[in-house]
Formats: sequence, C-alpha cells, structure tokens
Amino acid sequence: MKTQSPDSIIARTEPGTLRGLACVLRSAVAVLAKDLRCEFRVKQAISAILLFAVTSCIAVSFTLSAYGGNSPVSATLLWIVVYFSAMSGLSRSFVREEDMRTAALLRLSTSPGSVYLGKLAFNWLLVTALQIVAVPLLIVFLGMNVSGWAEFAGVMLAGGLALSAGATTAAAMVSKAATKGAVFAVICFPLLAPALAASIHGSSLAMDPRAIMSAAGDIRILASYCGTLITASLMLFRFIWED
Amino acid sequence: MSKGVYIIGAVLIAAFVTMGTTEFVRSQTPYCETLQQVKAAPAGSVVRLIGSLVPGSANLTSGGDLCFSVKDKNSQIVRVTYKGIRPAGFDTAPKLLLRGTYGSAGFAADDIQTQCPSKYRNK
Amino acid sequence: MPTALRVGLGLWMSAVILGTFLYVPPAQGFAYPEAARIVILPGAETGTSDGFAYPEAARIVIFHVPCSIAALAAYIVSAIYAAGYLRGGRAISDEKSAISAGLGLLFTVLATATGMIFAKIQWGRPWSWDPRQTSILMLMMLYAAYFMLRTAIPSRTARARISAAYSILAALVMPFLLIVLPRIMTSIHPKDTLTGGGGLSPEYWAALMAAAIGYIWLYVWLFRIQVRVAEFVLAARRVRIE
Repeated sequence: MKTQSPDSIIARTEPGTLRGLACVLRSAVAVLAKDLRCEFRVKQAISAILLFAVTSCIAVSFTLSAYGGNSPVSATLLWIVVYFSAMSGLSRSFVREEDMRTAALLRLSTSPGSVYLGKLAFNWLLVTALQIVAVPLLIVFLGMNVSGWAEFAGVMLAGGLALSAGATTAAAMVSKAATKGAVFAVICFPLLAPALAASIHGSSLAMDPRAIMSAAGDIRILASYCGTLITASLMLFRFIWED
Repeated sequence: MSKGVYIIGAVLIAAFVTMGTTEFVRSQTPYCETLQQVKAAPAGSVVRLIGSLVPGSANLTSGGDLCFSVKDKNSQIVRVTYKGIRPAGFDTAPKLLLRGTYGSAGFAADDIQTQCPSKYRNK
Repeated sequence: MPTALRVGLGLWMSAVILGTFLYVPPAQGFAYPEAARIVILPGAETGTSDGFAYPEAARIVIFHVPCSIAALAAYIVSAIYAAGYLRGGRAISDEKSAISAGLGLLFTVLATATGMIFAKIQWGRPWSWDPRQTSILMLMMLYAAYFMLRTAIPSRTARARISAAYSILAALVMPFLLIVLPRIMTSIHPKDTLTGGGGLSPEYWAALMAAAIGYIWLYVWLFRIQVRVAEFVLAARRVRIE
C-alpha cells in the first residue's frame, strides 16, 4: 500500500538533488515560522512547559536544597525538570495539528522532511527556552553551582537537541493515537534514556570543578545519538506522517 | 525517495552509531605501562597507568582519600591519590588500571579498575 | 514445523538441561561470560565479590545469557520485517514484525528474571541498578512501549505503519542502550570493576552455545505457529495478505 504524493511536490522537494535540499530547508523554515506565529498567538505550549518547569524547580528545591551545589544530584534534578516539562509540552505541536484539523493541509502543502525539520526546530527552541528558565531557578533555589559554563552550555544544547529529536518523532507517532499524553511519555522514555543519561553525566562533569574528565565524551555521545535519530527520523517520517 | 537517499542515510546512521559506541575516552587516554611514559605525556593530561599495588602501602588520608603506591613495569614506584571508595578486590588484584593525571604530588586517579584473575573454571 | 524437528527440539533442550547439571562443573571464580560481553555489552564491567557465593548457581548463566541472545535476534528480525512492510505494504509483514517483537519481549523478560535470581544469589539483592540490569530493563520498556503504541492506534494501516517505524527506530537505538548506557552508568558509579581476566572453560562455552541454539530453535517454532494463526485471522477478516 504505497502512499502517493502529487508528482509536482516530489519533483520540487526531492531531497536527492541540491536544489531539492534547499527547497526542503526553506519549507522547514516556513513550518517553523508558522508554528512560532501560532505559538505567540495562543502561548499554549510555552506556558504549559514554563509553568511546569517553575513548579517542579520549586518543588524539588523545597526539600532537597541540601543536595545542591556541585553534587550529581543537582544535575539529575535539572534534567528531570527539563525532561518532564518537555513531556508535558512537546507533543503539542503535532496534536494541535490534528485537533485544529490543519494536518491535512500541512500534508498537502509540503514534504514530510520539511515538516519534521520545522517541528524539530520549534521543539528545540521550546526546550532551550525551558532550560534558560530552569537553570537560573535551580541556581537560586537549589543552590546549584556551575563551574565550567562553556561545557555546560554545550551539554545543554546537545541534550536539548537529542530530547527534541526523540520527542518530535514520538509526537508524530502519537498524534494518531487515542490516549495521547500517556502513550507519548511512555514511548519517549526508553527512546531517550541514553540521551538522558549522557546529559546528566555531562552536566555533572561540567558543573564539578574537581572533575578530571571533560564533558566532551558525553557531548560526542549526544551528537552521535542526535545524528542517528534525526537521520533515521527523516527517512522514516514520510511513513509516520502521511495517510 | 530515491534508493540513493536510503543508502546515504544508512551509511550516515552506521557512522553515527559507530561514533557513539566507540569509547571516546579510550582514544584520548593513552595506556602507559611505565612511569616514563606517564611523565612523557603532556602535563595535566589524562592517562591510564597499569601497575601493581605495593603491598601494605595503602592508607587513608585525613581528607578521606585513598593513598597507595603502585609499581610499574620497570619496578618504579609512584604514589597515587584516589578520591573514592576502595574498590573490592583492591588488595588482592594482580594488576590495577588507574586513570588520572600525573603531577608534582604524584598520580591523581579518578578511576581504578582491578583485574580479577578468576574465571568460570573448574574448581 | 515437522514432527521430527519438534521432537529434535525437545531432545536438544533436554540434553542442554542435563548437561548443565552433569557435564558443566561448578564455577570457582566470577567473571562475566565473554560470550555475553561480546554479544551484548562489549566493555561492560560489573562489581562483584571474589568467588561465587554458591558455585553451583553459576549454571544459571547457561540459561540467562542465551535468552538475551535470542531476544536480540528476535528484535532484529522484527525490524527487518518492519522495513519489509514499509517497502511492500503487505499486512502479513506487519504481523510478523509484531510477533517477533512479542517473542523478543518474552525472552527479555526471561533474561531479566533469571538475571534477578542470579543477582539475588550472588550479590544478595535482586536489583542493584548494575549497568547490565539497567540496559535490559530499558530494552524491555522500549518494546513494551511498542505494544502500547500498537494498542493505542485504532486504524489498522496507521497502526502498521507507525509501529513499523517505531520498530526500526528501536532497533537503531539498541546499540546506544546496550553499549553506551552501561559505560555512562559505570562512570557515574565507579564501583570496583573487572577488566580482562575473565574466561569460560570449554564446558561452559559448549553449554552456552547449545542453549543459544536451542532458544533460537524454540523462537523459530513459536514464530511459525503465531504466523500461521495471524494468517488465518487476516484471511477471516478478509484482509488481503499479499
């Protein structure tokens, strides 16, 4: 049961050619712009994510501020906050398409690769915004202490990209499902477990001034994980997305 | 999508998976068997040293660090400081694999692996 | 499967079980079997005491490790059938992919259970977040999520496509779960670790390989039975198989 797209769309956006690649990227930016515009209008996903983040930061700092500082506990708490806030908000980009019945129009107007890249960029921006809010909150409330900021930022960005890559693919898979929220979180966790572990480990190394190992090993793991997931998702997305 | 794209994708994925699963640190930290090799490495870089424990040299400092002496392949002795819990099998292991940096205060290790001689063998 | 092969399977596994208790000697020291290290977790280390608490109990490894080998094989077969479904669109490929994933999950659960028994005997606690235990648990969750996804999508064609994509993604994430995750966990918990040294006496090797062959044989048999059932169900629902 092969899916048939109109020939003109394939010809225009066939990623095999260089011009096709530019087309795909341009469409992806258009998808991203559309999502950002919609988001700023309603502020649905971003407010859910940020409020969740603030609440969980305060909740964990409430009793655990003794474990702050450089200990690996604070790295773990940071990534738990980021991860679960992401779980609460990142599926929104695809679920909204289905709910608002704009999914069919999106399927017709652009290629699956562009949709994936656009949504991935959107989710990555959301996760980065979330991190920008969560890190200062934890520094203040939990007493988290970062010594190597460059490495820390690297781990945050790489980990955020890995998180968004997995979550975007999972969100697309779940958008047709019945009980979206529960399935989304359950699917994401085992897919993202290696990225989560690498991010936690890398952050704790970046935070600790006495650490001998650098976080570069974890950033490398995160980068290769992102590469694998994004490449595979790009190839598989047309099956997940199209009817 | 054309066949070529799938092949490129498969090659990329294989490259990424290989990159992720081959240990980064091992390619960066050279294995040293003698103290000379450790000293020859750039100052402050992380190296791995294989040596055997000098019996009776292990003791705990006031800061809770484990201090002990290790003999390398040429029977040269170096003093090692390790921040962590004494690993099981430490005293009886024939060889220790230390990872850390060498400085004026001796070898500062952040990881110790003990070689275990036992196997799934007949009693 | 023809009767001869079925009887053969029964005899083979009986031989493996007998051999485990009569041919394989109790182990003296402890080392994680080379076979499992190479096949499943290269470079993974584990903390332990010297020597077995119950040397006789080491025999459980002959049933524990081949379960993981069979599970891995089943998952890879599932991904292959998933790719076949995405290329060809035949409903039976999707069924085969799901069946194989289910059998893989069965063997993973068995591997986890035998591992927990082993851990209780050897280390005193059934679960200690040993890196290998963690990765087998993640693997189990990965494919449990696969089945949750399958039950959550009502449309048959959408379910087939999406679970096929998930199966392929899961197979690609497996190296990270099985190789990278334990390394990170041993960095987080720098316990006493083992390097080199370990080995298997030839009796253990023979028994392990025999058990692995037996389990894969069993997997093939169960797979074929379930595929036949799936074909009947698809035909009864008047779904075109080819």
